[in-house]
Amino acid sequence: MSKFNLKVNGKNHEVDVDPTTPVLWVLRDHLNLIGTKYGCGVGSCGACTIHLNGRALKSCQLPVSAVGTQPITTIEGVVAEVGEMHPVQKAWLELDVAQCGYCQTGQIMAAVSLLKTKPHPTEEEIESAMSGNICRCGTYVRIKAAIQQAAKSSTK
Amino acid sequence: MEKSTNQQSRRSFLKVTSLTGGGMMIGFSWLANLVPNEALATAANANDWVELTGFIKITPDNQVKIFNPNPEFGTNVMTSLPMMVNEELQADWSKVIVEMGDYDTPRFKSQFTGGSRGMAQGWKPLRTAGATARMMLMQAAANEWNVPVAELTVANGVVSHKASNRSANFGALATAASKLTAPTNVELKKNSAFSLIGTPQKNKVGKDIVAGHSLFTMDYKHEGMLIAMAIHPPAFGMTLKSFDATEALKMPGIKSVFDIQVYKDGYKRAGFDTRAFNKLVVVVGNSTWEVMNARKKVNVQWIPTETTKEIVAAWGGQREEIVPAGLESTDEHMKQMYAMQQKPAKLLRKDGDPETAFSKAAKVIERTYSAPFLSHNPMEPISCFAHITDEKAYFVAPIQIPEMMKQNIVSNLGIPGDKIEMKLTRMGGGFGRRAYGHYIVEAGLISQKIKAPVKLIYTREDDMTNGIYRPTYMVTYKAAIDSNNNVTAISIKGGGIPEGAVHENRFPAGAFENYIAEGWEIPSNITIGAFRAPGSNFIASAEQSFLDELAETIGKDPLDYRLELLRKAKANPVGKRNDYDADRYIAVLELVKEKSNWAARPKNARRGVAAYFCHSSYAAHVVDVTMKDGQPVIDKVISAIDCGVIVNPEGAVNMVEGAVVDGIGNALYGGMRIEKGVPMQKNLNQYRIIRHKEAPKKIEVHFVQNNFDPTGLGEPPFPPVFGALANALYKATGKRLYNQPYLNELNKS
Amino acid sequence: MKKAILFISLGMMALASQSFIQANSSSLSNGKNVYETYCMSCHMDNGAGVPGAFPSLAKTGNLADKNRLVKIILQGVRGPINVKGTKYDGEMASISLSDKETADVINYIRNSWGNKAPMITVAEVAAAKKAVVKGYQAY
Repeated sequence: MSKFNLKVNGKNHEVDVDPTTPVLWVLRDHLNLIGTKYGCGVGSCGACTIHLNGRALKSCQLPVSAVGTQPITTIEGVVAEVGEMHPVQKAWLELDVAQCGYCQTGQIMAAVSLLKTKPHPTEEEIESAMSGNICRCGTYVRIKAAIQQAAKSSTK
Repeated sequence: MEKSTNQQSRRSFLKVTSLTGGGMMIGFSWLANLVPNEALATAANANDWVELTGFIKITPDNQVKIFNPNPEFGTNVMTSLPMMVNEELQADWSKVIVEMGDYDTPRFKSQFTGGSRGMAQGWKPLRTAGATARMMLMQAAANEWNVPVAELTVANGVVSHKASNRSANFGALATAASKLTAPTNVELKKNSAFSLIGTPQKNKVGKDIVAGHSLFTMDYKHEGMLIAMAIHPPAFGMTLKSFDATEALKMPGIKSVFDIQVYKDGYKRAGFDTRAFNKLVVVVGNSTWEVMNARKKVNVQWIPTETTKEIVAAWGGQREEIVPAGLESTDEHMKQMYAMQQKPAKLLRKDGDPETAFSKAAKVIERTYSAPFLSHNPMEPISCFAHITDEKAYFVAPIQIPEMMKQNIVSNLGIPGDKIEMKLTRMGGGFGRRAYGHYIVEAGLISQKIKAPVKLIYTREDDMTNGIYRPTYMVTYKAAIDSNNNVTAISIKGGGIPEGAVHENRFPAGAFENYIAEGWEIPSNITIGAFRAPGSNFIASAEQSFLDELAETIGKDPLDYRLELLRKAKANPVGKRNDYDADRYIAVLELVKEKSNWAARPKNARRGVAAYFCHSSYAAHVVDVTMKDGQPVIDKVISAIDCGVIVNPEGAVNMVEGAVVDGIGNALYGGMRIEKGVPMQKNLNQYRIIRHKEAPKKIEVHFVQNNFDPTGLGEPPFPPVFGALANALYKATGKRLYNQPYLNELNKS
Repeated sequence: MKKAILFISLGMMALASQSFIQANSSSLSNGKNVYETYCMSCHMDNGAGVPGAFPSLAKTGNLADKNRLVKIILQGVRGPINVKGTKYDGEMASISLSDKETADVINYIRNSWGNKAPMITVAEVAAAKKAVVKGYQAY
């Protein structure tokens, strides 16, 4: 067990965990941030997607020892970052994207990160960027439409 | 107007309570539902008032809460079932709060998510409950204002008497209403008067989902909660001999390691009690990562099982189930299934004289189809919380059929039924997997042993290698064709491990004078369970592929040939029982034909069609595909659906889209390979699931507009996707596909 | 006659290199798809990885041994390993890819972000897989 100082969603947290603990479990078990989900543990499904330095990353593969001072943002922070709902979340609701909902926070995190680097992505760019996120219920068509809508709305 | 009365069970259908703080609660059970069902009918005759499966709660501050009775796993019953209530209740929908009902007494009987029955089951009872509540609120206003009820109007949760310019909201009337007697004659709105049903409504829980709130069992936390994981044998056909936890117990955060037996010796399993492994080694600790690490250090010895015979309860009695010993393999299974096809099988149906027709045929076309085990892989792995004390047994569980678990919990945990309390969480996907609640018993056993609250978590590997798969199947279709190019006979022979998929009374039965259907089964120790449209999800792919090939052989358009057969079945149905309505089947094909511009398609269009009827709804799809570097790209899918009255069009379209994506993914990539009892795919990096890039670029959904009572959409759109895709791939590549997953066959040169 | 033969040979070489270029660019574009689906979220879209967590793939000098790369994709890899002077002691999960996908993604990685290497073929991947795992069989 070692102590780590993490900056999550703008707040400082101290945790005392094994250095190999993936950030996913630090968030869920130690910081009570359960919006980031566990789907596979091998970096294949994307349910655990967070932002490290603003970039989408699979937290089940990131050991806490590798984080250092790099800021982490989770789904809980995406809302807080903007103060109200992020355009991506708004589009998600307007287009009624979710079915079971389990993968959706990971999808949203990946989408937010994509729009940061590519504010007006083509359909192909969306598919590429989002291919690391599985939706078992098959809401892909709506996810793509929501990302396109969010991209459009942010030109205002 | 539709009248809903059922004097005999009125007492048991509905109960009105005054709340302590003021306000009113109406509980309702839908045992009074008039859909014939053996299991439900016996319960409906119970003299005692039966517990609530749904609630309407109105408090003096004018808050209207509707508790959704059906467990939610993505079909959005959280929105559509309360819509049925509110159509009649007429509260302000935008302000209605929807919550998940709990299973908290031993008398619940009707909470069931599965079989695509939610809409059908709820249709009358939920509207009746809403109407009853509204009538009582109106009566309360009439009493207070001393005016006839007939002079009152209701809109958006407000009762008004226009003549005297008085109004009151539901909250103000609820306490008085709760003291009245519930009316026995309740009139329901005509379909044409609907103002909420049939309008697209957003998911009532959408905001919680996008914000990442705690909705799933995996998210649940409890003071003092420990984490448990269960180690199961690495192969089917193995069981626990012994284990050594010395190293594991030294690891940080670990509390204990012990073994449990899930079901007691002699426990008579019911249909949903399936569990793959009865003896598990459990590791309990403080946190997930610590337990994940410690379990790797447990040294476990496994030994082969012996062949067993178990009595299993089934609909209409019981049956004997043989669970063979041995380490089974997919290659062996395929050989066994081919061998069964050469042997006589059980006759399921015979019309006319197929043997003669085949012997006289000018041409016989015979095709064999197969599909592998499928793993459900819901996005949220199996998990369950349990806290058992002397006072009560409290569970937080994702479960599709809570009532089916009750007897299981009582028997195997030794807990009296009235001490069981179960909070039903939202499920991160079900697809049938979460109808089998063995994990509730496991969590209960663990909590009893460690005398603490505990959350049992299955890792993805635990989940994927835990069986309860969709069976593996094989079927052979044969058609006899005479010298005039008429199809004179059809033969269907097939089965599966451990159960088959032939539905002998479905189309094309009824369309052919000479018809024979036969089936077989091979027992196995690989456990199986219901998987989104069980049986149908395979047989439709074979049937719809074969009809396509048959049409081509006799020189007919595949879609028109299906219409021709259906018209024939309608005009002159063969046989005593045909489980489909030819008119409705024809309607979805004609709708998809029109919307896809089928008749005008170019000759070499890379396009396929399929249609199917199951779980009370009809579905047809047209798939357009392009090959890119030898890999299929799905350009477009056009779907035509008949599910009767559509309660929530927004949710309905989402369900069809999801079924289309799911169907394509399973058809192309899905498959669990077994080698010497070991499931070879253990995680999502090995079991391929369809991703963004592989989903159709466009899905268009159309509904047949009619006034049939609503039927479901969870399953019906799924089975015909496979066949439509296979037929499209044939046009795109010239290759007919017979063995799933299709991508494997496509990639073989 | 010689001129004709030379002309024809040049023509055929042009055709061959044309299809070679097409095959190459097809492999690279497929490889990019595979990379984005399975590799990008750790190794990042610029191949730089995350220092201390996921090794860089850009100009590390580690990518020359194609058999090793096939083995890493097929079976995963456990540390400790040394990449560009940094020690990594984590675990990469195996990724189930077809022989073609493996060839394509290796080609993509080895020809992106300043990397340059000869293209490998599907046959070479199949041979490498057999060599690293006895009795290897896809689904």
